[in-house]
Amino acid sequence: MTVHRRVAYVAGEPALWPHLSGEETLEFLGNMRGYVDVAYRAALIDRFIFDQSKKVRALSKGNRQKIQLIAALATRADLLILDEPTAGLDPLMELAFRECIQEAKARGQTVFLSSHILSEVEAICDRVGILRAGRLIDEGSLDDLRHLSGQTFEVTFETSTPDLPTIEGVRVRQTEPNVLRFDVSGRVGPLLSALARLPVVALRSHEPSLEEIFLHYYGSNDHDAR
Amino acid sequence: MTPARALFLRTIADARIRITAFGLLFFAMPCIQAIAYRDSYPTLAERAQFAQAFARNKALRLFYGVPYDLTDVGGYVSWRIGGILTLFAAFYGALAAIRAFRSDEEAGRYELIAAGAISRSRAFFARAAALLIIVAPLFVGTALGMLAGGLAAVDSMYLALALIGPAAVYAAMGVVACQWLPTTRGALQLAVAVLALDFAIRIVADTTDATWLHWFTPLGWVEEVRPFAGSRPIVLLLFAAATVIVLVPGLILESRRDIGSALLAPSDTVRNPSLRFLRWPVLLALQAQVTSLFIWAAGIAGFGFVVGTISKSVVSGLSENLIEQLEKLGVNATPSGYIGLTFLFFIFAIALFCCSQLAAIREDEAEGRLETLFALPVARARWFAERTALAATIAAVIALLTGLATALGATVVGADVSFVRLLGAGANALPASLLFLGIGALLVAAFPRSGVGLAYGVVIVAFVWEVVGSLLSVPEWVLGVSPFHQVALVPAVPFEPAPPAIMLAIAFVATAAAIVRFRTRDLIGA
Repeated sequence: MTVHRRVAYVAGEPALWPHLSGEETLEFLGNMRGYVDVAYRAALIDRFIFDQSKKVRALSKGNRQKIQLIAALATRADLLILDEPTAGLDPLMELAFRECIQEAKARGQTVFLSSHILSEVEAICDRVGILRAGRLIDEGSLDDLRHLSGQTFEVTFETSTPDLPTIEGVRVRQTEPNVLRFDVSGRVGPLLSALARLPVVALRSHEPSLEEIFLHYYGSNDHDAR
Repeated sequence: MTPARALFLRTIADARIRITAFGLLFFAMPCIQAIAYRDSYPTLAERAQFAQAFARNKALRLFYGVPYDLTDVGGYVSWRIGGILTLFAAFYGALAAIRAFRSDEEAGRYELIAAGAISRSRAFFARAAALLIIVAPLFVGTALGMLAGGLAAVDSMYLALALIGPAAVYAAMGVVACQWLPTTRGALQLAVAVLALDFAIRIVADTTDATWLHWFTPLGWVEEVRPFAGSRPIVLLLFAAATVIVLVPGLILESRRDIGSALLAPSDTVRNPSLRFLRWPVLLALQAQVTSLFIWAAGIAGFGFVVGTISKSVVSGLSENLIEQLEKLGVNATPSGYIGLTFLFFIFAIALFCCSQLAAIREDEAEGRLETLFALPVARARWFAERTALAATIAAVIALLTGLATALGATVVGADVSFVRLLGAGANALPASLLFLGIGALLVAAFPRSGVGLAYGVVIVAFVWEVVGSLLSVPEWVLGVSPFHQVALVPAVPFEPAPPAIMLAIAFVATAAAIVRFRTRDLIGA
C-alpha cells in the first residue's frame, strides 16, 4: 500500500464503471487514492477539453483514456506508469499529453511510458528500453541506442548503383535506382575508402530515428518477435 | 458459411451450458415424479383417496396449478411438474432471448456482426431461429423424461409442447424487452417483472373461482391444455400465435432503432452527480445494483407475505386422512408446518441471490475494473472481504424481511403462528444461505472463470438433492449431505443451534480461504 500511494497507473484498456459520469469517476478514483490536487485536476479537465457530465458507457475510448490520464496526473504521484496512454487521443490531445508529461518531469516525477508510437517516445523520454518477446533487449538514453545501432548514410551515384565489395559491419540496401543506403555499425573508414573511387554525387548521413533503431532490433528475425 | 448461418450457430453455441442444464432438469423432473408416484400410490384406490384429498387444496395450487386427474400417473405428473416447470421455461426463454438480442449489443460486439455482410432483418431472423433451437431441448427433455417414466406417448408430447409454449412466448417478450431497455440486466428485470405479473394472475385463477383468468396468461394456457385429462391440443395454437404476435413488434422496433440504443434508454448525461456513494467501493457496488436488490427483496418477501396469508386456509378443515397424505410428502398439516416447509424454498431463493452477488463480484474482475481499482491504494483482501460481507448483509436483510412479511401475512388472516417465531424462521434461513455464499466465494476465488456457474450449480444440486431425495426415500446419511436437509423447519419445529453454528463456521472458514486465495492469485479477465 505504501508503494501504491506513490504510484499512479494508466491502463492500456480503460476499464471504468459504465454507469458513473466522468465527474463521478474522477471523484471515486480520487477518493480511492486519498490525495488529489483538485486545482490541477480542474486545470487538466480544461486542458483536455473533457466533458465531465457524460456517463462512461457513452464515451469513446479516447475520452475514457482522458479520465484515466486526468486521474493519474492529478495525483501528482512520484511514479506514473502509463501503458499506451495516448491510444484513441486526437493529435491536439496528444500534444496536451506531451506537455503534461514534460511538466511532470520538470516537477521531478518519474514517468514509465510504454508505447508503440515511437515518435512520442522520442519526443518525451530520456531513457528508452526495447522489449522483444517479453525480454528487455536494450536500454539506455536515445544517444546510447543510436551509437549502438550505428549510423546511416545515403549515397547518390551518378547513374546506376555500382557493385561494392562486402564490407564488415555494413549493411547495404538499394532505395532508388541510383541511391544506396548504408547502415554502419562500428567504424566508418572502410566504407569511405570504398566510396572514394566511385562516382558519388551526394552523401547524406543522418542519425537513426528510434523507429530505425527499433527495426534494427526487430528486423533480423521478426517472425518470432511479433 | 453465410453470415446468417454463422450468427445462428454462434447464438446456439453461446447457450450450450444453459441448454444442457435445463434439458437435464426437464428430463429428470417428470421421470422422477412418475416413478415416485407409482411407488407411493400403487393402487387406484389409494390414488383416488389422494386425489380427493388434494382436489380442493388451495395452497398446493399456488405452486402447482389446478389438478385435473390425480388418479392417473400422467395426470399427477402434469400437475406436479407443469405448474413449476412452466415458470422455469418462461424464465429460460426470456433469458435466452435477452442473451441473444442484448448482451452482444451492450458489449459492443454486435457492431462487428452488423458490420458484416448481413442485413439487420436477416440478423434478427438468424437469432430468432436460434432461439427456437435453444428452447427445443425443453421439449425433448420433457418428452423423453415422460417416456422414461412409462407414460403414454401422445399426452406426453402435449405436456412437453405445453411447456415449451411459455418458453417461446417469453423468448418473444424478451426480444421486445431488449428493444425497450439498453442493458441485459434491465431487460431481464423487465421480463421477470412481467413473469411475476403473469404468475400473480395464474395464482388468482388457480385459487379463486375466476378460472377464466387462465386465458389471460401463457402460464394459464399450459394448464388449459390438460394433458392426460382429456387433452385439448388446440390450446397449443395460442402459444404459436402469441409468439408471432409479440415477435412482430420486436422486429419492427429493432429494425428502426440505432444499434446500442433502446426506447427507454436513460440519459447518458448526468446533471446532478451523486458524490456520496463514491467514498467506498462497497457503496458504489450497492448503488450500481439498487434496482435488482429491490426486485430480489420484494420478490422473496412478497412471496413470504402470500405464504403467510394462505397458511391458515391451506391446513384448515383437513381430514385425518389428508394429514397423513401430506406427511408422506413431508408437509406438517399445520400453518407453521406449511410455512416451515416453504422456508426451504426461501433459503433456496436467498442462496441464489448470494450467487448473483458473487456474479457481480466476478463481473468487476472480468471487465478489468479491478485492475483499475487495485492499482490504487485499495487492498485486495479487504475489497473481497467487504464485497462478501455486503452480500451477507443484504442476504440477512432479505431473510429477516421475508420472516417479517410472512408473519404479517399470517397475522392478517389470524393464523395460529407466533409472530416472533416467524421472525426467527427468517433468521433461521440465513446460516444455510451464508454457507452457500462462503462456498461460492471460495469457488470464485479458486476458479475465476467457472466459479460463478459452479456456485449456482452447488445451490441447485443441493436443493434438488433434498427435494428429490426425500421423495425417493433415500437413506438419511445420503440426504444429510445437502445443507437444505440440515435446516430445522422453524416454526414447525424448535430452533436447533448446532447445525446453524456448524454451517456458519464452515461459511466463515470457506470465506477466509477465499480471501487468502483471492489476495495471491492473478486477476483473470473474461
